[in-house]
Amino acid sequence: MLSKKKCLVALLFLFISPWFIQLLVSGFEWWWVKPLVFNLNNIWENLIINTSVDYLFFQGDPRVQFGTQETGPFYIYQIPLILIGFYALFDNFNLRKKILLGWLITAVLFASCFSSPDFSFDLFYFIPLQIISFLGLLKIIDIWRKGKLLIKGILSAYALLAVYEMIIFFHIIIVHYPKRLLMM
Amino acid sequence: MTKNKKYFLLIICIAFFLRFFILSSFPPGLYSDETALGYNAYSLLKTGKDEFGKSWPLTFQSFGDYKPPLSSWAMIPFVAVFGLNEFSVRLPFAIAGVLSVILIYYLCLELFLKNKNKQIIALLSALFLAISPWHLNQTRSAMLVGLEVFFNVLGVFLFLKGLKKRNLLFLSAVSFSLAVYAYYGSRITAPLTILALVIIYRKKFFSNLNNIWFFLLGFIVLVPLLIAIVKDPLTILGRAKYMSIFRDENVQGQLWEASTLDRPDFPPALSRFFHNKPFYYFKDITRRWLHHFEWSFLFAKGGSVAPFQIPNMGLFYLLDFIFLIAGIFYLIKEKSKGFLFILFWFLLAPFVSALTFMTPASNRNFNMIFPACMIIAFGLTVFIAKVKTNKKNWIAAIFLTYLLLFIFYLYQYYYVVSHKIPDQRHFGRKQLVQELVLLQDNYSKVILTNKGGPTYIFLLFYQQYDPEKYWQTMKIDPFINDLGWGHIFGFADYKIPREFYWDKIEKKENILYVSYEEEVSDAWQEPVNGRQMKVNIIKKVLYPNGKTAYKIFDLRLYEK
Repeated sequence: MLSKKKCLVALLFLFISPWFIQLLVSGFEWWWVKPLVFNLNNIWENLIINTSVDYLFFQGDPRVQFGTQETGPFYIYQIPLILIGFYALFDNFNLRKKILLGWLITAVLFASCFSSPDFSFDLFYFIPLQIISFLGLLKIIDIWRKGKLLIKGILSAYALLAVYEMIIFFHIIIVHYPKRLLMM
Repeated sequence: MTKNKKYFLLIICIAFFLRFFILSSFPPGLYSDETALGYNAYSLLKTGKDEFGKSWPLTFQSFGDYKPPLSSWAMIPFVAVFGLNEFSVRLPFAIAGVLSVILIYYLCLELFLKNKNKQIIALLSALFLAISPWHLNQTRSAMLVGLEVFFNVLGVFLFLKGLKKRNLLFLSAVSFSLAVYAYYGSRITAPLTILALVIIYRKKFFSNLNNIWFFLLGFIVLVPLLIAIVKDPLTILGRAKYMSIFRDENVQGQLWEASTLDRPDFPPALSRFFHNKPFYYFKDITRRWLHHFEWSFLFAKGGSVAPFQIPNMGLFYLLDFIFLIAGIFYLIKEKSKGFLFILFWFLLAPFVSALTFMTPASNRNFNMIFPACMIIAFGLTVFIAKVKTNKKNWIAAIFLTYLLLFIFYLYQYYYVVSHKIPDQRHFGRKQLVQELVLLQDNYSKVILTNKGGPTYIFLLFYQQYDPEKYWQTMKIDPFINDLGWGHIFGFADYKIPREFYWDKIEKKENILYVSYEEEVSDAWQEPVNGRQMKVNIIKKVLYPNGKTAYKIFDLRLYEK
């Protein structure tokens, strides 16, 4: 079980996530009325799109109602967090972590059975990916605590970059995005 | 002979066979870059000058891409012995490919020095490299990166050995320098690799000052290149100038769009805080760097850039995905110097490619193959070690799966490539030149299409055209296009327009024409002085799948 402090950090981490803010802004599409894709080739292509770096971190959903068109549903600085999160996931691979991994894989495959990319379907795997990213964040905080001066210096620079990226995102969502919606 | 040595010998034999088996015929067709490197080697052999008449240049102007010279130099002895043909052109790269398999074995023994399974890891690394689709694709062709990666890895190996025996540090530096002569990317990759080695092994390297002197002395080999760069900056800028993301307008476009979306009352300084070149280029480079680690690129689809594509598969086998992830996981846990270097090497490899606007690129990222094979081998070894029950069954299952994947690769490479994408390998040009040689004397000139790649070089290569005769009649187009490509308008009686627009092409009876199927209709006709001028097809050069590669025709006048 997570401590109160960690829960608060997890919630804050969630509230500043691009995909969560996009969800608050755009709402949710009723995905169950959308047609399934049965062709294996198409599912394979959709899987490639849904797990692509461009979609997740740089471009997002190409429909203006569900994507800023300038950022992905995750920050770029979350890439090392996700990678470290996966390392933490496989380290001491207990039942809870197996469930989390199973959730992620199932959700990605589920999203790939519909026309991709699609923000509403992808929310199903954004959540486990966000959790994995948070695991990475916890690990980074741990490294910071135990690290020498050089490590702390590198992590400080990384934190500055993360803050800068978040500022840019909020600028985009507050200033650019309403204009894009009006131009639609 | 020990069991390990026997297995090693077997792996070398496999590597040799896979690289030399019908080397002249597969890949089908000699690609334009291979042809250019080969012809320049031939020209140097005959005259001491390249195709443009420059004496022993340290960069070959070629198609405007200013190719580094080592590949052509390496071909010279083989062209002298075997003549100018596909075999002599590809031979040095096939040899480097086999030597690479030997090299990775010994490199593994150095990097996994304290690991009790280092022999198994070394053997598996060698095997994975020997059967690697990516490595086979590159080393069965005369591609610049084949030699570059070999010399880079040799430099790493000699550096590690040199920490125990100082003389080898000199050879390590020489090897890195040769990598710089082999491919543009090494001008960034080699220094970064050296930096990583020096930092990771700093205690041993700096334990004796003489180590530094021995190492630096080896870079004396670069002095001629440095002089050449000072005399002609195109030696270093040539291709990089046109491929660089800093020249591409993608980031500029994003910045402009973002600035226009800011409110009109936004202070410029604030707008620049949010939208600035450093951050946007950082984003672009990161995005392009990450492209090279996408599972779809490495394991599912591979590169889409001709001629590096193997249809329906990635650069690695699908099963490698599991062992690569396992290998990285356990490498991080091990925390040794050798493992740290392998991980760094793996992450660094795509950096050069990330600075270009065509990503992901399997050729520019080729340095990744060595650390990747080592990580996969390590992952597989640890996986097998951790299996407690039915170990033999697991090994059998993994072996069978790899065997099936390997057979699938052979089918894609030897059958699908030649039947589905032979044009990407420039198949048909040899056959075209062979036909033209029989026909061209009956005509005043030959007008050829330039579509699909530079045609002139194939005319030179397959006729083993005398370079001195070529220089007398070659017509160089002074215009360089956006991607840096130059053009040769023709030589002797050959005319090669930059764009083959049929309605603008000179039309006469005593001219022989060569075009793609869709460029000129077989049924084309035009009234001329009361008669009809019609296309008369003489010969069609076909792809292995029966489709037309080229059609050779002339124009005849018929009564109406």
